[in-house]
Amino acid sequence: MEPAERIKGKRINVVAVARAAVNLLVSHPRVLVPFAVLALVEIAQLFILANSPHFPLNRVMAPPIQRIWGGVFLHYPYIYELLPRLFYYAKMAAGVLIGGVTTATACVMVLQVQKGKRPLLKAAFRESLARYVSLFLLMVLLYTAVHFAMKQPQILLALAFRGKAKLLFIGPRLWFEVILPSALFLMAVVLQGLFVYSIPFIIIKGKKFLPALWGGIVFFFKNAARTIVLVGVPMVLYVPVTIVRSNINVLADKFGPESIVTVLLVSVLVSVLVVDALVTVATALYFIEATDA
Amino acid sequence: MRKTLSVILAVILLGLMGCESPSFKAERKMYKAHKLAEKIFRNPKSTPPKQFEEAVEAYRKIAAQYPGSVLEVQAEFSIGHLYLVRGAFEEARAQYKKLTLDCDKKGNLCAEAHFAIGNTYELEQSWPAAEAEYKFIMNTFPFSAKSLDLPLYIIRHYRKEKATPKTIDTAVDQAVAYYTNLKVDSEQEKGDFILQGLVSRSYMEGERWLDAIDSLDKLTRDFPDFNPEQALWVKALIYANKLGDREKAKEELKKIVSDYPDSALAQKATIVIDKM
Repeated sequence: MEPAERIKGKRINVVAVARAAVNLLVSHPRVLVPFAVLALVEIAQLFILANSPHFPLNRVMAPPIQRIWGGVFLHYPYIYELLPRLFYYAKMAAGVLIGGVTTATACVMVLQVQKGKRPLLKAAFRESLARYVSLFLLMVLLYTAVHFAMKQPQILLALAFRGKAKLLFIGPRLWFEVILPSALFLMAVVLQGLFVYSIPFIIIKGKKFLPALWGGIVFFFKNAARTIVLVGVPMVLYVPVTIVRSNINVLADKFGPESIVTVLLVSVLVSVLVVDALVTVATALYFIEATDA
Repeated sequence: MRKTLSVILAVILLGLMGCESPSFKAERKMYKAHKLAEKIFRNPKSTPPKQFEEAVEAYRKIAAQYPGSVLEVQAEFSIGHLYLVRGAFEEARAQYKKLTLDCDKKGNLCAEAHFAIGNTYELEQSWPAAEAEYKFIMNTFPFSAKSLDLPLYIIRHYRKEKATPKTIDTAVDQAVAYYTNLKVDSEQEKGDFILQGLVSRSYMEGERWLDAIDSLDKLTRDFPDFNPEQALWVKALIYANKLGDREKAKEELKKIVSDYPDSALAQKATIVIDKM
């Protein structure tokens, strides 16, 4: 099999990398399989959570829901109100437990393609599984950072606004509806960028957890602008989903509470199969080219 | 092997989907009926009759499908409320009356239904008929949640309607007499404490501050085990805000700090004393 197009030249062109990433996914759809597995796991989680008030899942799911959030959330339509929050935690667990392995598997498959080989899922998976501990630790760190860091701007802004009608001559609407979401988006891109190269360091360069983490962060800072483009552009595709998700109650009111499940399902498909796949493949390609792996 | 696994997985998933409990299904139906009703509540007068009938029909179906359940009661009440917002008072009353059967077994529910009937009279500007209904509840279901609130509700009504001081005083006296009589029947100390609290509230609703203070004194004296510092706090508020006696208010607050130093109100009292 022919290797995917190489990105030549000393200065790596991000547009060429992005184009190569899309081409690789089109010409080798097998690379999408690890992401499809993660998406399937997340869909199964969504299914279980949405059915948690019903037999037989209620035997396992009802007691914790009842204890933590209250028995009312096992009734219609309240279970659907709780679903986005429940799913957020479930998605986090899936990301920590298997997200690292699926991303690493895809990275190995990209490397196989770049070396002119046929991408082999089983071999790539075995290779990733052998580095499970490092990948798991990395995912714990990434999700913890995202979970805590992403909440802070909103809290800080709310505190800054306490007792004030305007902040820096700007009203709350502009702050909370435009500036804050933009800042959060940029922050998400930077956070993702900070950790995105640690996986190739673990799986392609064979580094251990801490050297890979440090190596990934240093690599990011050396290639910050290009990484932000490679991570940020696919993440823009998730913005419409974010807008829909932030208006989820309006949708539920109009189309019924069950529409929340549909929105979450679409968010899984877009985030895992489109955004994660593009970010992983593009950054892996960039890493391979930049480090001559 | 793969095919077999896929089939098993699909069967499990489909099986789980079919396991929705009957109560969950009923809740969904009720939600849909509420959604239909919501439009009418938002715009009762201009809702087309067809839409109104649709909502009533949805509730009637639920009531017929789940007899004897909470959903049936909710559905019947909701039909009554729909008639009420449309100004069809007779129909609303007829609907609520359906819920006043079997009152020996369901006292609280009957009290709620009679209260709703009283509301229809009130909205029809027929206060005497409403008051008669409320008094019927007080006498027939004396220990229901509704009946305990009704004497206060009546005082509030007279104050809202700017009735003469004599009328308000009479309503307060009737409320106090009602709660005091109930105390005779109450078998528990906690019950007596609640009723004495309601006596105090009756005086406060009627703005009879000195009587309220006497009643609160009785509360702290007779029920030392039921957070008496709260009564002292209310007394301080009455002295400071209603009677303009800041010294007496300070005394009450100091009592909280000295006699109940571990209570949450002691901290608040200290802050207020410092600011006074």
